[in-house]
Amino acid sequence: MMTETLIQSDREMSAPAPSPSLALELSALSKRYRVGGGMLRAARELQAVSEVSLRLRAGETLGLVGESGCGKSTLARLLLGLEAPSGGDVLIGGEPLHRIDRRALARRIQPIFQDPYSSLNPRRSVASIVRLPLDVHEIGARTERASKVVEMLDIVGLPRRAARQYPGQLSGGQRQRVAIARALIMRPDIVVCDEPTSALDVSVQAQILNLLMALREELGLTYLFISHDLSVVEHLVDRVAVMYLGRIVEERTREQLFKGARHPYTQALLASALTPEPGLGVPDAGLGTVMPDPTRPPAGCAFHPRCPRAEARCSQQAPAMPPVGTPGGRAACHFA
Amino acid sequence: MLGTDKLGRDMLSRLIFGARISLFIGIAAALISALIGITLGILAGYFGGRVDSVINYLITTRLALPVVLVALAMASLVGGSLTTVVVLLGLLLWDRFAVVTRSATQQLRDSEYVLSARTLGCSLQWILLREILPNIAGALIVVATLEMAHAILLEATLSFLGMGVQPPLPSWGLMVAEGKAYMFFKPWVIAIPGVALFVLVLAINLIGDGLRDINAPDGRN
Repeated sequence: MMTETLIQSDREMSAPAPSPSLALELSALSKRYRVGGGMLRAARELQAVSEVSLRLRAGETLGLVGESGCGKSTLARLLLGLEAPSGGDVLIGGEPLHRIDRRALARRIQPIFQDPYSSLNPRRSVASIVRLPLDVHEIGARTERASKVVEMLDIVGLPRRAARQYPGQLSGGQRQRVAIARALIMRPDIVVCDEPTSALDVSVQAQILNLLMALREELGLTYLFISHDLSVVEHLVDRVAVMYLGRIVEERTREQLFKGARHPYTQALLASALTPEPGLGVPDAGLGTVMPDPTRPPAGCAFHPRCPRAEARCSQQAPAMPPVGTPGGRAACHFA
Repeated sequence: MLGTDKLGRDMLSRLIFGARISLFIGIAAALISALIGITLGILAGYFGGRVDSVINYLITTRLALPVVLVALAMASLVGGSLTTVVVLLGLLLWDRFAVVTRSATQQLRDSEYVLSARTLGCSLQWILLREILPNIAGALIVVATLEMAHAILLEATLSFLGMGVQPPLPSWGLMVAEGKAYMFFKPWVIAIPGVALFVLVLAINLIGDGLRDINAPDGRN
């Protein structure tokens, strides 16, 4: 018995173990859906997420950017274990996601959803919503839970009297604070923020972003921050990954991305960011507004029908994506 | 006060005792059908796919059965009694519960608070009973009162036709049946239990409306 464990630990030592500081690793993660199958029509396949590989170090914030329908939220659902991937793997702290028990997973990764109006059960008081994780996991005695809830409300900047209120009595920003409190009360390592500010007023957005940043320092959190808005991501993240039609097309550190994006799609996204200056109107990214049908992705580079730089080979040959961790960032484009 | 019937029994006391039977049948039948209908509906709505297809088939089958006819046939086979009526109606009136629960659950299944309950590691039972059920309870209370009224009327129908509650129990339907021979001479003999039925069913429906208003989450503001 003794020797066995010794051998076991020896093997673990000698194996090229994944770096312990990696909080989250996605390797070639894919998700396909079958859609539109009827009695006479064959179902078509929709590739929502395709071969996505990403790494997040502990304490790092990665921004995931892309337009609506590019697969960002599906990716989030895969990470949270809400759906099973069709291919590839998710490693959380080096452990495969599908081998982690659902309840154990809940303690390590938590979501903050987009819409604070639908992410809180309208029948529960704020205290009961924030306490829910403790109740489900049976952590602490009754009084202990109550004091933890009060502490958490303080941390997210909600008044204590809010505990007795119902979500319907709170504003959007306050609701999002409740959602953040619920996600963090069990002190997860990783938080998946799925557009946490896009349903809020601009003035409230800044408050919530500041809160998220402060909490990252305070609790040592790792964020995957999903957004369609580069200007929101700009203030918060260390690295940015850009997604188009289910694929990562570019990944760079924040400075590199905002100074020298190489993929034409990223460049268009940067150009499309709204300026606060009135009278300038909506900037034209030069992409048109037609999103390709994800059940029939274009041949070659998926972006070529909309790309201002497309050449003949773009429609034939898909550009290769350099592997994760390529120094200086990576982009899937023939011209990058 | 209301006189006596053909056997000399006091109308008022029979009327009062009959209310007990009507209410008992209404509540018991509504409870049984709620249990069946809500269970089926919430499972169909939450899981979708095959489970939904099978349960939907059951609902459609049930909707294709004429309630009164089946109840009459079964009651005449088994023999009418209080228990028979309650069980029969309970087994026949669950369709509306199932349909309402199913569609309400479908709406909530993908709501973000149900998703976040799933990511918290809540058990299936917790999600269905503590997250979804309280949020559809308002609609279900209305259905429950409708079905209760429905059951009371059906019981009166069955008793009137002699297939429901058996004499000498004072069911209102039975009282109408017993009085129908004197309809043209002493109309109040059937009018009194008739009016009682009408008032009871109306009251139940009003209670249902009131409960829904109290229960709506926006009513808390």
